[in-house]
Amino acid sequence: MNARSLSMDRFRVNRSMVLALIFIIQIAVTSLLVPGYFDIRGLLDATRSFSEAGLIALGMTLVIITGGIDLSVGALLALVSVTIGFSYQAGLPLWAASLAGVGVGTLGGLFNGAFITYFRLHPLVVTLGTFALFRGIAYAVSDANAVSGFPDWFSLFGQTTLGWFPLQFLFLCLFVVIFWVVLSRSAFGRYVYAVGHNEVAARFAGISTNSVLLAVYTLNGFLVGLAGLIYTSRIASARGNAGLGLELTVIAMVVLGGTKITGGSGTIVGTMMGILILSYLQDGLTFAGVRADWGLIFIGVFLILGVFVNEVFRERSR
Amino acid sequence: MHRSTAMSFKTRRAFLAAAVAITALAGGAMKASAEDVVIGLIPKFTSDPYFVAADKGAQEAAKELGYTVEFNGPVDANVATQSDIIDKFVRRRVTAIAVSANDPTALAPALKRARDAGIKTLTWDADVTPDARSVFLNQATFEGMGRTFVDMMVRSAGTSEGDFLIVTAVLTSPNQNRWIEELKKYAAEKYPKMNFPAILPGDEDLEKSKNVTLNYLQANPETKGVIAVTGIATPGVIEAVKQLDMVDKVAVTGLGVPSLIRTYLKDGSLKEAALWSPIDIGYGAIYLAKAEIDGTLDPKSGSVDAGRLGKLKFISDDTVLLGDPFIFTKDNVDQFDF
Repeated sequence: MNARSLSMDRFRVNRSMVLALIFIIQIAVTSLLVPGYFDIRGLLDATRSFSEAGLIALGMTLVIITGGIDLSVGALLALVSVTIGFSYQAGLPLWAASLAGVGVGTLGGLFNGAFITYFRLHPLVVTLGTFALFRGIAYAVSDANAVSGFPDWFSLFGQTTLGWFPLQFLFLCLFVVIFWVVLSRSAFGRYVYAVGHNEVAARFAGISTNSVLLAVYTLNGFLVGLAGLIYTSRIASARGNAGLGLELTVIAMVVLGGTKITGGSGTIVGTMMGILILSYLQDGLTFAGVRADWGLIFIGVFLILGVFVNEVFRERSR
Repeated sequence: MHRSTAMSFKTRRAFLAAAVAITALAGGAMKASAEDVVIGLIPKFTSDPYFVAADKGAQEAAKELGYTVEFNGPVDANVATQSDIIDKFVRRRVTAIAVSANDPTALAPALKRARDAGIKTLTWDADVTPDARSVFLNQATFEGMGRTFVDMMVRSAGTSEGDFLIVTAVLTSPNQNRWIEELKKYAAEKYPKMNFPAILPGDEDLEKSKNVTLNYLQANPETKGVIAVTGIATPGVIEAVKQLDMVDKVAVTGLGVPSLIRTYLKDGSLKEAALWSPIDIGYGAIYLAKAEIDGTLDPKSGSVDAGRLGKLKFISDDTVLLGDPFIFTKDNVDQFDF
């Protein structure tokens, strides 16, 4: 146990350091190539556009560690946004509408979790279904319209800064710490890894695997609820086509951070690095004026390289 | 195991701090020197020959004025991406941002942030709320477009009685919504038997525009015509009508980008379509930006100097008109290469 944990630590240190190094180099290269990029306030400003995906990536890390996946996060974000907007428009006070939105997110996650655990359906299949279901409901409720005209105070979640730090980024950092503690230092965290490693063995070891899975997906849904609130506040508009393609971005962040897609391993620190690398890559490209279509090529290449690097380190630890 | 994790965290943090310090030194040495004027030009979406043509016009104006125009926009008509791109331009400290908006209110916060940072903002083609920009370059008057759509449809359909479908862009698109409002008003006055039972979003996607038209016409075969109020929808709508073999029963008209509608004008499935010169609107937007940057933008003077376009008139305190819509037919469409 001792020898293995030592080599696992070295492997963990190595991989995290490599990811951190990649991030530093990425920022340095972009700063040197693009005048004006390296501006601390500007770089912090960029956190506004990825804090939502980042929050969801934390929940997705747990989901993927358990060996599952959640493809419905983008659609659920739209449903959350539409819930907030349209219940507000229907007369609900905005604070209640916001709570309703977060509630819908949590319920969505619970819905996924219930079908995966009690009906024993594969997460891919279930969340593929809810990917369509949630989006469909979002479009139906909004009738492809958008709600805006929120009062000024509502921009609190998505458009304010504390000093130089956008509020949602501080929020993200807070959750990073919370999730890091939960995953690496709590019994629940150990159960999550156990279920991911070997669900049957975990069950025989006395872990209530169904409860763990249910909790993981519901938690993910809750994070989508928060992200949806921040998104609606940031864009000051509630729309049914929010979060299109978000699930792929989130999964990419998690996988880039070293979490194995088949489950059983992954860290919050890794995911944080994945969030930073992917987001600042996109940020740097847009800032440099690279058209979004071209940017996708860079991101794809980076993603493949990143996953490759992670696999190399995984092999080394054997 | 716990101790080592804490150590790796601390070492990483120290490592990061050192690296950030080094990069800061490197970055500090590369301060941006934006002596030149840089204008951020943001279309609704980039995968459309109309907006590509607008960029062409903008680059033409940029060359004349010695400006740099950077063209960047979402690949699909996504307003959140537009908002992000505005934020990036703000960080770049560009001189001005000219945007064609996918939603009139959702971009206002980002544009206001730009104005707070001292960047000039203006809109072209599709407007935002007036408090977020100094001026709007409108390609045609909303009433003019409404009238043109209705008159073209009556000519193409040979009748002004019956049900007519409207296929639009995204449902929040500001210019389309004004045109629809105006065309309904005009039709109510002049052709009271003209009905518009449905407005369907094609979401600026050719395939989707085709599918919504297909579904609607199959359910409502007595429809007399379809008005496509955005250029990218028109070919999709025509394809749907052709697929259902209803070319003689259902007339199609609306906005038309020559390169997209040329074949249909030639084969008769489309008789008329309207547009204005997208090259001119891009060109004009840059000259409007110049007037704003130089401080010569004055509604009381009645007009703005726009290079080869001459003087563009103010039709209200904050809106400048590009000109009149142009109607394409099979006889004149070949004169245009966009």
